[in-house]
Parts: sequence; structure tokens; C-alpha cells
Amino acid sequence: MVIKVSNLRKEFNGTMALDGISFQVKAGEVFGLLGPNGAGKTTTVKIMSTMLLPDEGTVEIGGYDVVKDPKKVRELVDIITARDKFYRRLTAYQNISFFSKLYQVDDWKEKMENFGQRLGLEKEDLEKRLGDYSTGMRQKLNLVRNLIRDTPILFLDEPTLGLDPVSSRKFSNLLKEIMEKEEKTVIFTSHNMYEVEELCERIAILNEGRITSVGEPKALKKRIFPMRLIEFTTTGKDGFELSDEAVDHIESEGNRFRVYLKDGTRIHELIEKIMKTVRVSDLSVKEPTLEEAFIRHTEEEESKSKGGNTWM
Amino acid sequence: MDVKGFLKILWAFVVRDWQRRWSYKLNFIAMLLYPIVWVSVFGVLGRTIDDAGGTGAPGGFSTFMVIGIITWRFIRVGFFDSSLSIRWEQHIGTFKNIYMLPHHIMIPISATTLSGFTVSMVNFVEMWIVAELVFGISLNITVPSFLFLVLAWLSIIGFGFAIAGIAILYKEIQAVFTVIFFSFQFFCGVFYPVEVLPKSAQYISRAIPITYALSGMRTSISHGYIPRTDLLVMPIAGLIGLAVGLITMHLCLKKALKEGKLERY
Repeated sequence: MVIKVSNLRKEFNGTMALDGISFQVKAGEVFGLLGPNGAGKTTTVKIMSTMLLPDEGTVEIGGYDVVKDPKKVRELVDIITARDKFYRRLTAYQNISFFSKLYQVDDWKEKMENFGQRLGLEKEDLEKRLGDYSTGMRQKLNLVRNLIRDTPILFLDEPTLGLDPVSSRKFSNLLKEIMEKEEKTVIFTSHNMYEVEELCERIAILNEGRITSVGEPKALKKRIFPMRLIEFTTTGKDGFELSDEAVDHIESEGNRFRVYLKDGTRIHELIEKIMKTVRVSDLSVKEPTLEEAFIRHTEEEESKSKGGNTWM
Repeated sequence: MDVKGFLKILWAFVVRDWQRRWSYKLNFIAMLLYPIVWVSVFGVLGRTIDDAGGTGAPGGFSTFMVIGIITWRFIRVGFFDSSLSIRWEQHIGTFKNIYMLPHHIMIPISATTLSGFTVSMVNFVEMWIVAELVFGISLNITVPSFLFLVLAWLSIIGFGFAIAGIAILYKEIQAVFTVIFFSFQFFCGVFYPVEVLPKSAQYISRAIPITYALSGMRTSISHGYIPRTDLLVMPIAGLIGLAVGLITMHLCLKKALKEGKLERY
């Protein structure tokens, strides 16, 4: 295991930010930390990157303890966040030249142009001042800065925060491509479920400083949200009703219907039943998205902590 | 980290800082003109007083004033570069990237401060040239007197490091220390001899290393030697200042790491 987090605790002014979290990450794995605001994602990443001391517990990165050997840890780790900035009055070349000297990388210019091109930053972009960069361009340059430094472990703390949906999607596709090629161990935190589902091999869901679930995205979705959904449009104006113990509930909007099934075991049988009951123009079977699973899971956890009933 | 590695990092900061200064063209020109204007104003004032009978200061009052402001300017730049080193990076949002280097944080902080030393040097040379060429004030600056000036600079950057450390935890404290620092102009004899101050104020003067820096520089340039007291006080003050600065910085960084205040501004 290249990352070992054991029983990590952190409190800020009486508020428990992390309440004994533990997880391990293998070399080359992309591990996601998912959770609502204030769940403890950024606190975890800050401790792992030596920017914050834990109250209790240990974190080992590549065999080095983050408290005892922070310099050794920083040799292995780099972190990218949406808050990262550059010197606005300097050009991209000047900025990267400065950071490369700090990282003691001599062939930075060639690397910068290569990585820049892969990420869609042309030479003329690199000659511009950072003050003229959009948020998306700045995040691309941030990734270039990291790729030049070339640490084996990378923490991505909500890297697409503040990007518009199109730029965000493009950026996460780039991240995926880079991660596959560079074989880095990555810890990824995000609110964007698409990114997490696309990029991460395993996910831990954090809520109120505790890990409430860990697993592969698909398995996690099934475990948290085993429901399947049959979606269809009827051709007539008649209503639609279906009484079956496999059906959880039905939602409708005009002549568009969504039948939520408790699981996927009798799906074909129920489709036949629907077709016999009404005339259907189109029909599809859907799995819940990770976002739906995440919302359900978070609501359940919140409900549990308040001592109430679970969702639905 | 070896010396070569540190010099590479230092060079990175020097290049970055001059590129940044040059990017603000008018500010850059102002930065070069400001010391010239300053030395000219006080040179004329000193000469006026000398023409009216003088004050009995060795080499005339104009020499007294010019040495005072050259030394003060040198120390002032050192103070602001060291005390604002972390705060400036936090403000821009680049501190995290500098902190994430696999070195002790004091390496980039020292490099930033030493990069500011190049500005002190440029200003020093400018003022020296103007004093000599425009006002005919002969500033016989020798290697020992220059080394003495560097010691004075070291004594104040220790104070700057301490403030930089405290400012990580208490953001507004910088303003308080800036006022204290500028009050040194009153106590340390930048523009007049400390002897003209009330007795009680002179006790404070004697407790501030800058007083010895100014008196040592004046005697060194006017008479060619550094008084023994000043020669003794400056290295001790420099070492104590640095030690206090580094210890304060270390303690504040540790507290900031515990409280999560390192990245924030």
C-alpha cells in the first residue's frame, strides 16, 4: 500500500472534522473521496500533504510518516486544487520557469510545451500573462506544473471547482488520459459525480468526518441504491398504474413515466407487464447514477445521525 | 540541500522578483527614482543647515543625513522583504506550491529575503552615486563598513522573520509592527543625533540595534573606523535577532500547521 491512513482525527474549535477515518490506497490506484461540504475531504487531503497536523492517528505516504518525515512526503506528493494561483503579472513561461527551478527540473521548457500541447495550451497561450488566463486555462497550466514536477502521488482536491460544465468535462477527460498514461497514484476529491465515476477505481464516501462506505463505484451504487428504473412514454392519454411487489414507486410527468424497481431481478417480466397494459413509444432501463446513490446515502446517514427513519 | 541547490532556488526568486517589478513599468521607475529623490531632499536640507552654520557633525550635517538615510533605506527594505515574505505568497495564493517543496520552509523564505537584498544593493549604489556626484559628499565606504551594514541588515531581518511568523496566525499584526518599525526613525537617529532626544527616549534608543548601525556607519565613513561598542553590538544583535526570528517563525508555523492557518490569508 502506498498510502495508509489510520484512525485519523482532527478537531477545529470543538467541531470534529475527522472522526477516526482509515483507508488504504494501492500504488497506481485512483481513489476518490466523496462527500458533502464539510464532510472532511479537504482536511484529509491537507493532512496527507503535510499542510495540517492531525490530532490523532497516522498517515504513511510511501512508507514515510507525514508528521515525522514531512520533507520526504513532499518529495513524493503534489497537490492540485481550484484555489491554486500563479503570478498574474508573469507569463506562463516565466511562472513555470520559476517553479521548475524550485523543483530543480532543467528541461522544463520542452516538457512544458509538450504537456501544454497535450492539454490544449499552444505556444502563444504560454507567452500570455496569467492575468489574461481563464480559470480553465489556469487549471490546465496547474496540471502542466505538476506534470513537470512529476511526483508519483497526486492529490486532486476539487480541481474543477469554478469551471463551467463544458470546461469541467474537458478537464476531467484530460485528467483521465493523463492518469492512464502517467500511472500515478491519485487521491481525488470532488462534488462532480461524473468525474468521480469516470476517474476513480475506488471511492470512500465521507460524512461528518467519518467514512460511511468504501468500494468500487459500480458496486457502491448497487449496494447503496439497488433500484433499477424503467422509463417510457405512452402514446395514449390514459393514465398508468402497476401493482407489483417489485415496484418501489412510480413517477410521472404528462405521458412520461418512471417506474422505480426495488432491484433488477424481475426486470424483463415487468417490461412485458407494462407493454401489455399501455401502448409505449419508447422504453429504456436505467441504473441510478452515482449522484442519485450519493444523495440517497447522504440523506440516509443524516437521518441516522438525527435518529429518524431512513429515506423512503 | 547543498549550497548549489540553494543558489539555484535563490536565483529563481531573484529572477521572478525582478520580472515582476519590471512588469509594473511605472512602479519600477518609481522604485529607482524614490531613493534618488530622498537623498536629494535630505542632501539639500543638510547643505542648507551647513550653510547656516552647521551642527558640528563630522563632515557636515549633509553627510550625517545622507549616511543616515542610506543606512535606513537598506535596513527598511530588509525589514519589509523578510516580514512580508509569507504574507505576500499567501495573498497571491502561491504559498501552498512553495510550501510543498521538499525543503524546509525557511529555504524559500530566506531566498525571498535575499532576493530583496538585491533591491537594497541597487538603491544603495544609486544613493551613493547621487551623494558623491550631485552633493559632493565623499562617502568613503570600505569593505568593513559595508560588512557592518550587512550585519545591521541581518539584525533587522531576524525581527522581520519573527513578524512574518506571527502574521501567519494574527493577520493584522503586521500593521502594528510596521508602526513600531517606523518609530525607530524617531529613536535611532536617522535624521538627527540621538543625543538631542530626551534622556528617557535615549534609553529606548540604546536598546535598538539600528542606533548602533547608524552610529557605526557614520563613524566608519567619516573617520575610517567602527567604534568598538558598535562593532560588538551589531554581530550580537544580528545573531540574537536571527535566532529569535527563526525560533518565533518555527513556533508560529507549528501552531499554524495545527490550526490549519498555513494556506489561508
